[in-house]
Amino acid sequence: MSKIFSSILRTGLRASSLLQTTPQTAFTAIRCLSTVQPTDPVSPPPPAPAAVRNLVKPEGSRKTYLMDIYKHFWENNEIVLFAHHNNLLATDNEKIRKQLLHAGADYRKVKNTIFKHYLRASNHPDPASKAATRQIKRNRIRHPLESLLKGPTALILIKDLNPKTVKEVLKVLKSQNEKLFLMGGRIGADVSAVDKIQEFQDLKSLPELHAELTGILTMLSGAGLVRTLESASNMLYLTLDAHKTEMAKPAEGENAPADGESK
Amino acid sequence: MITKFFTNVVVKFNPFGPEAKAARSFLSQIPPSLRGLCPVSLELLNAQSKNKPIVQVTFKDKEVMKGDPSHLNIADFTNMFDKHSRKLQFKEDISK
Repeated sequence: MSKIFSSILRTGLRASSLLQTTPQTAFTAIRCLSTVQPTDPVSPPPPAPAAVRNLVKPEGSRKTYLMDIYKHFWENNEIVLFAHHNNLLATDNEKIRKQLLHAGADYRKVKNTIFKHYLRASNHPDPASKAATRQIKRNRIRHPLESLLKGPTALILIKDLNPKTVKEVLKVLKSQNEKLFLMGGRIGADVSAVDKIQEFQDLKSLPELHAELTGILTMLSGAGLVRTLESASNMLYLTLDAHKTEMAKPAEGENAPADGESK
Repeated sequence: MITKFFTNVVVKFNPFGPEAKAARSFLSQIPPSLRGLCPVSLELLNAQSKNKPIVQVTFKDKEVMKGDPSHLNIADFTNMFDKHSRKLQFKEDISK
């Protein structure tokens, strides 16, 4: 009990110093509290308040939610393709979504203005914050892909950097003609137009290319390559070694006993 | 926009260009009910392509109207096409 009393006294003094009141008034206030609510020594400490986000819109609002989910999409997918969708019926939507899911991609329609704001703020750790908006305004940030957000737009999200998935997706889109067509997108970190995406789908996947490279290296006997890679460090060693012997020579000539230290 | 009398639509545009807004808005105004009746031929241009952006509509009476989406906005297109569509509508109403 005395322990609890002393802790209360300490908090009272700290509170008084913060609120710039006399210790006595703070103490009496705390004593009143202690008589009303006896502190339970077993109760867990109150949870630390979560970091408060200074947001443009309220935290639980639709716009903040959309900004957060766009951030999630943009950062968790290697390939993001932008497509124009034209008055798709509910049945069409369902069919396309299923086909794309089967091909290994996700299909999302976006709210243009909010997604444009996200693209501009995508460098900021919290794009929904007031600080991100200030940053955009101050630096007049524009994103190269925001020109694609000028009509009904959908995102096709692909997790891995795999050309085969892109090929499957393009096959699905081709069957839809003008109802859903590709306009551009982001592959890895690059902004690509349609022709670049067409080229990308014919490439081999990264593991295949790695295997090919190792195959070539083993076929063409890696010894030559190893020698070439080693030559730089060998040269450096030899130069330094020569320099060391050069440095050692005058030391030997001047005072012989110092030789032991240099070794 | 009255799309009832369209029989063929040709749209060419660069999605990154300034003409994209008008061209895409135009495309989005063609209702799904017109899908079997009015084929839409679409060509996406890029910075290197020599074709010019265009929106071209063929009406029931074979009248062809076209415009450049980089200079006209969607309201201009709507006015242009509706002018002829209303004439066709008037003729249809009289013949009834």
